Amino acid sequence: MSFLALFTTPRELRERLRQQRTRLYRIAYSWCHDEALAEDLVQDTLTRALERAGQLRDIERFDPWLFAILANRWRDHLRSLRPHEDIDTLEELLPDGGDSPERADERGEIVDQVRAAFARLSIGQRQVLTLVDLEEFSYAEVSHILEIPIGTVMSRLCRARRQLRTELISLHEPRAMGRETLRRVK
Amino acid sequence: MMGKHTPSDEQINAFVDDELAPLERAHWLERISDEVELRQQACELRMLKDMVRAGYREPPGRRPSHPLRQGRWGQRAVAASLLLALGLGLGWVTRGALDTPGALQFATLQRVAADPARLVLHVDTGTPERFASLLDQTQAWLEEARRHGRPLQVAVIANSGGIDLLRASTTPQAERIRALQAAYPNLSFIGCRQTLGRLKDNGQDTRLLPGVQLAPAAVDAIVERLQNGWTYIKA
Repeated sequence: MSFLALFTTPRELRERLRQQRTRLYRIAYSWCHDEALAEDLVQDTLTRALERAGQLRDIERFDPWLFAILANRWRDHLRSLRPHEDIDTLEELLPDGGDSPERADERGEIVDQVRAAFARLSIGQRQVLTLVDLEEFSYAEVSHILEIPIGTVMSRLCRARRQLRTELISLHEPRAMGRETLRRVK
Repeated sequence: MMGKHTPSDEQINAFVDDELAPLERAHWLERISDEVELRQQACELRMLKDMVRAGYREPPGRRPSHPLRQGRWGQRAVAASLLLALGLGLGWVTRGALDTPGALQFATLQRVAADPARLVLHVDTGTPERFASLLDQTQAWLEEARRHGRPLQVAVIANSGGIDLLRASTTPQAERIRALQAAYPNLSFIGCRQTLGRLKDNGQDTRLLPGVQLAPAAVDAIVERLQNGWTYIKA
């Protein structure tokens, strides 16, 4: 059964895709930290998804399929910035602009501190971490979405969390030890 | 068989991300219950996951998918994640105990005896077997308290994959839950509206069992109770 056959009309397909906008935007923003670019990536992803809807044969694969399109659009964007460089090298880079760590640190908000720590991760690490933690994709699904081996998924995840742990857990450790609202029961 | 080697970072991450096969997961659950350092590592990774979610729950530039209950949600969310991580540490023994019926009563009744007033049981993943164990455990607590004339309040709060316990179309425990609700007015079941919203967006049936309450967000409901002295247990 083709994917389109699962939706009786194109309007229903559009509605299904529209429902994913918030999720796509959240991931796109976490990758680029740029509101306008994230919106563009989402629009582009949805347009491509409509064009290629016939390629998807299994409704169970809808989410990985859709986020793989987003990952491809993001990769195309990176390539357009540095057309002569290898994409694997680009994924190890930090993006420019957006929500700068320094500015966010100054604001001192905890959400900003999380985003600032995120901004210090490489692009490839961010992608893996957000797909696992925000969208709860399996390692195998992330491997498919990003077109990288599972071993790479795991190593990027480890490096990303190791770095975040250093920056975030140590930041809040004194508060984490405060047990006024939790009593150990023995 | 799996020996007592030091786990790699990849293994601990895979455990926290629920990527391990059941046998391997059971092995690491046992190790984590026994070894403080491993438990700490697992808790920190859980905390990081919650922090990442808090950091991007409401990215700028789009209207939030769920209205804010109060202004500084981010602070609250991260505070919640810290509390949950601590609670997770406290809950590991119980979590292991749920998989081991023989160890069940001792581990849990010990906690209830020391703090008999109020328990919040958090379920965010599950299989039919786990859901059954969770309800067995809950009933055992309630029965024990009733037998000894002790006051006890239990709130089962479900989100993420745990919401399937309370959804009419997915739960294998509808009749059991109805019976427990009828037998114990001091037991409440609470579902997370955020999780349900996401399921609804995906076209899934989000109807809950009769009598199940709704909280805007599971994490808020848990933190509110923790702040009021409830004991947190990760199911």
